[in-house]
Amino acid sequence: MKCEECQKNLLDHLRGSLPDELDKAVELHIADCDECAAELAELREAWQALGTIPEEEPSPELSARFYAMLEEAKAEEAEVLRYGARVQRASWEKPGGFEAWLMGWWPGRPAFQFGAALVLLAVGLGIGLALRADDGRDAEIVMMQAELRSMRQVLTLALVNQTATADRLAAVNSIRNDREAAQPAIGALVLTLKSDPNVNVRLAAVDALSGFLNQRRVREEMNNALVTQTSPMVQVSLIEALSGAEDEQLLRTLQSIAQDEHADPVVREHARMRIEKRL
Amino acid sequence: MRDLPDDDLMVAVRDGDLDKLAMIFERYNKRLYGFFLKQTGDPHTSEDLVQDVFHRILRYRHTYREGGKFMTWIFTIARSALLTHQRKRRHAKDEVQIDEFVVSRGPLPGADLEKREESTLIRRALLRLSEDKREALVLSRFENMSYEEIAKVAGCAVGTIKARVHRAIKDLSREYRELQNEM
Repeated sequence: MKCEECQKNLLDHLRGSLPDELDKAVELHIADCDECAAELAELREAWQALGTIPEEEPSPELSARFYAMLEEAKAEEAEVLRYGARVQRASWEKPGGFEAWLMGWWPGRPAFQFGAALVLLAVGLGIGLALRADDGRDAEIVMMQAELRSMRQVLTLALVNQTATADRLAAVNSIRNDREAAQPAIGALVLTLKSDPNVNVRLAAVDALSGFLNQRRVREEMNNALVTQTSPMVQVSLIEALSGAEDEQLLRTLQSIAQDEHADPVVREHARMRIEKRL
Repeated sequence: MRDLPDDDLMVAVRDGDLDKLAMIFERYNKRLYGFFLKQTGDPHTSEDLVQDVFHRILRYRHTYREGGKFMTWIFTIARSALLTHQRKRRHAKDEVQIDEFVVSRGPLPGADLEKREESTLIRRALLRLSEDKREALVLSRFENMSYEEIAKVAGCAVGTIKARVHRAIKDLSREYRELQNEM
């Protein structure tokens, strides 16, 4: 073994991580080479001195700060879950209600759900056309329309709860394309924006919610999501959507992002740019 | 429950069981604190950085993929937090010479004078290394990480890390001797 090769392996020799054969070759070389032996002695001294650094303990304040942060995060998580549950209860979980009865007939597979939705729409349309000529049955028509709306609501919410990303994406997009169905599904869209693990689904939710920026609640939820989102793409998309809505809370949210050193640099830059445009 | 692997705990956290993060905190907070203290020489900054790591875990928990090595994942986050801190410190005009920091909170319990001096010198020598060399050396020496694991954390080739650790220990040895001669 040459000196160069030996010196390359000295540290691993010290760490005891060399294969046996190579380790023996290093030892043999050191026994005959004063220069490499001196080098090993120096490295060993520093390596061993590192071992004298004691393992110091953090102050109890660190634990206190961590557990306070954890409690806050748990409360936020619970709030999101409660909000989701409220949305579901409000729409279909009333015991004995019409929607509960409907859910009993609801097919499990997404393809069948789409099929059922199309059939129901066609039936609704057919009934509507058939009753159109008969002015004396207005009350019945109103009732049928209400049932149809309710059915669409069930459909959209059931789809948002799908486990496959493609199904959730299709659901959010179908809501976006049907404003009438989307109104009762806003809560589900907000929940999707806040908690869906897939960026594309969250982006689609931003897009769908953008149609309802005239509602204060929607703007508030989107502002909140802007702070809690983990994806820079979703954050930028939220900033763009809210910027078009003349939202009064946005400036404050943008300022807090621009000052947040943990925020993504691209998002911060975007926030700064938007602030400058507004001021 | 106490024996659950880190990976299982983090998967539970990702899926909404945030209480499991407390177990991860109990397992890792001292290690992370030690890692940061050796990098920064400052106990308060080190605690802030540990808190930052757990804040980032909560924020980015949806990105965790099971089956990976949790330790490399958490140290990747730790490294990222450290880089942000170092960048910020470089931008600040009031940069402090960190090798002059008193890194210990107080006298080391049970250590004799000679050992204490040795420990102080080597810590000062460590703080004189470049940031990337110090990081690689600390992960190798104190976290017992393999070159492959360090390469994963640092996001570079295994050969680069091996060379970096080697240069780091040589530089450390030189700095240590210089400090000894100054005494």
